[in-house]
Amino acid sequence: MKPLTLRRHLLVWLALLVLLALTAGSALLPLGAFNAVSNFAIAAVKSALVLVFFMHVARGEPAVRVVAAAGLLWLGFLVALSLTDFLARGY
Amino acid sequence: MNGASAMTATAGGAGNGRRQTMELGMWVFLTTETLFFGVLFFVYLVMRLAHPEGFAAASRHTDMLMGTLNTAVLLTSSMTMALAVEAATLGRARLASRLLAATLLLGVVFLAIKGYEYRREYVEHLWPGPGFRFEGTNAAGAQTFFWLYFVMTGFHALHLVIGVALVGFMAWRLARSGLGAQSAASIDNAGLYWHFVDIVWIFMYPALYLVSRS
Repeated sequence: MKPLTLRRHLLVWLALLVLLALTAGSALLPLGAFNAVSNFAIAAVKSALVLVFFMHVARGEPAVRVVAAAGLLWLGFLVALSLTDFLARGY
Repeated sequence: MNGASAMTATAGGAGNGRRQTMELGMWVFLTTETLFFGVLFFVYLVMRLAHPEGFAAASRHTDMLMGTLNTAVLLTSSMTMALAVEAATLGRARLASRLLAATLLLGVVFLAIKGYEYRREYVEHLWPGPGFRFEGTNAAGAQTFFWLYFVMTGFHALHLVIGVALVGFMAWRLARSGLGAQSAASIDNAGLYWHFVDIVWIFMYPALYLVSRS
């Protein structure tokens, strides 16, 4: 029987839990606007770990990466172009 | 490559070509899902910019301990799911079946904790509508926050219910008819879906539970 790559999976899991503790802990400190920045930056890092090590986005065929990148690109267009309206309303 | 094997590579039975096509199909589906949840997060962003104090005050009424615990549960379930996919790819059916069962169990634990939170929020009059009660001057912003809280976590929970059913079906089929190239590819795809639902929660956690905790 071929063994699982258990060690690598456990390390990624541990990294995810450390990042969770980091975001929960930093949220309790009064850092002003940096609270939101660090919370969402940590969320992005956690997502990247899941995408790379659990979903193997880098290992798959190029078409998978094109589709994944296209999703993020169009979401970016949606947010950026819509914000030009909402931010112009003065809040 | 002769004509016959070129045929199998494209139309491919349960071959590698078919597996790749299935995987690409799942990624296209997940892209549409990204846009679906992306719109919810965009509404959240606009509303948070409009009601910063209401969102801060309302977010303090969510249960940070349960939210953090649930994040850990879901991250752990992603690991067991990734291991199940690997076990299935290596042809280890029993191990894959057990890891799928563990994933399913963690998904159910997540839903149970979420249900407990919903119940507490109901008792505390935090469900938007005529019964909504909120102390202070930020009631309108707070109600908007809780409206989004229930829509976002509700759609996430719906996705997780579907994920639990999917993983349960994979485990059942594995126990019944064993592991073939076809079922390994299906488990692979169920894994992609499961991890996507995990990523959605990774962003909902700071957006809903951690707005203003200091």
